[in-house]
Amino acid sequence: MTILAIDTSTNHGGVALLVDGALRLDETFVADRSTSSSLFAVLERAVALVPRLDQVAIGLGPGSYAGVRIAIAAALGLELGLGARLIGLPSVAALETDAPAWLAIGDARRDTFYFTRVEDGGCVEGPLLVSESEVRARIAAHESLPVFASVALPAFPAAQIALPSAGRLARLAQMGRGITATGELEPIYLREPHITQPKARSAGG
Amino acid sequence: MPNHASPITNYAACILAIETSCDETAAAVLRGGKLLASEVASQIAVHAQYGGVVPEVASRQHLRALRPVIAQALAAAGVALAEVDAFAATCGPGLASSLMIGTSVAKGLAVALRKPYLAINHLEGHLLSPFFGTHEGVRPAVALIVSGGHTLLVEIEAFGKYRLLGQTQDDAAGEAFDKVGKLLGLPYPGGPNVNRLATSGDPARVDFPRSMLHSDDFAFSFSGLKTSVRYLLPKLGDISLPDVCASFQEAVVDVLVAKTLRAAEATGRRLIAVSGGVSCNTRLREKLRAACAARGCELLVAEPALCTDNAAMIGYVARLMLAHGQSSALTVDIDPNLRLVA
Repeated sequence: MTILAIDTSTNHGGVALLVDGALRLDETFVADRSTSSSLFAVLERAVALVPRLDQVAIGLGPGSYAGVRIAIAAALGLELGLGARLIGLPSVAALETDAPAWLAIGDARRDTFYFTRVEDGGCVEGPLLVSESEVRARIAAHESLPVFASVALPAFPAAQIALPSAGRLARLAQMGRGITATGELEPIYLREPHITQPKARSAGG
Repeated sequence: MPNHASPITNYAACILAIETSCDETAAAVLRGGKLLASEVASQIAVHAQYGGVVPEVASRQHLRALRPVIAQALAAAGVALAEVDAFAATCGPGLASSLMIGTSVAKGLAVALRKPYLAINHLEGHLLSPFFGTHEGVRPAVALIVSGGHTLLVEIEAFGKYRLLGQTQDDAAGEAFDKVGKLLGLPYPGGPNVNRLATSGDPARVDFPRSMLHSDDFAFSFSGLKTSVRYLLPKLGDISLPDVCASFQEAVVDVLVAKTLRAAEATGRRLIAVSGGVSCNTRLREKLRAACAARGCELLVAEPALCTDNAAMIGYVARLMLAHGQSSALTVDIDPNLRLVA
């Protein structure tokens, strides 16, 4: 079984290649929101290492919509070109940590946060779009679990920094854990697009 | 980083081209000079409720639409992916969140099949679209690109050798059409509806300003004209909607035609190539034909299917690049503000 995993949901991108349980490649790079050049350089190296890909596992976030879409679109090309099966997993289920279970939170803009509780490689609660006070309440309800975020959150200074790992994503895919989607993948959209409608104006206005 | 595959220098290459610069998800398959398939999944209905393109919505739609659009294009062409020699995609200008979808899929395909990737300038696609399918191919000309996002005059010396003569300083002509359509309460997109209503109106009924008609350059300006329409609306009196549309359209067309012909005269080019969505406008075509005939110029207007955003024109530029031994590195990024001429 050959699994290629991609996570670009944060600005610490990663690509891993798992061949019959052994990591053949595990690279990280700066995944700036506006650039995908690093990703494709690594993908080219990864694909050159193997004659075929069975699965491409994508970290779906929550995180940068742009980053996740680039990964999904690249994977779509790999799927069409190589016949690899696409699978999607929450990036927050593949954080670089030794903890067996954790809470993951992040800034979701406009005074909201996302919250999720991870156990056994899968999200058992969320990801949910919630207020700051609700995050506090949910953290209090699980005070034994560590709290992770991908960037420092001023509202939650106790949250530790932990980033998604493409290698862990590949392992989860291998074990069949945490898979939330196959085939038609989309980022984990926490809300509908924010669209500012113009004020109604008469034809003469 | 160099592209992994060697450039192809024959004209018979099979190309899969992708266009996602704005709100159309498009894929085309070409072999040699022949267009085998060109598919477009329009998002107009999705964006109509907002009165314009919403970038976040467009990006979500592209991601959903590309797989079926590519599959349709390949099926219609009767081509298997393994037969494709190169993958091309629009890398700019356009909406960043839309461009990244098409380029990433094309790069993924190029990586998977170890074939060349070609990053294509959307404006060059429009620019050369009038030549697509012609026996002679790209010829020296003065070109007018006139669409919802662009209005510019370019001198073409040969493929890859272009000189910008002038461009709009504010709204694109198509943008002015769409905004006026919106002001008049016409369905989105307003441009084609303004053109439709104008056919039954009097183009001389309202004397709208012809901005920069006599300026000593090849620049355009259409925002003032749009404002003139807005100021007129509360005091229309017996002026009908078709009259407003026809008069507005006439003002736009007069400036486009006059400046294009003047550019041909200044450069000594006898061929005028016109492309972009507004080149479908019937009045523009009519007046350009008459003006070119009067001056002894040849007029080449892109086929209607190539006027709005499409992937066939992207594939055509890709084919020319390949024929000139060019390909792009996978590290070439999107550029939402990409220019035709550096």
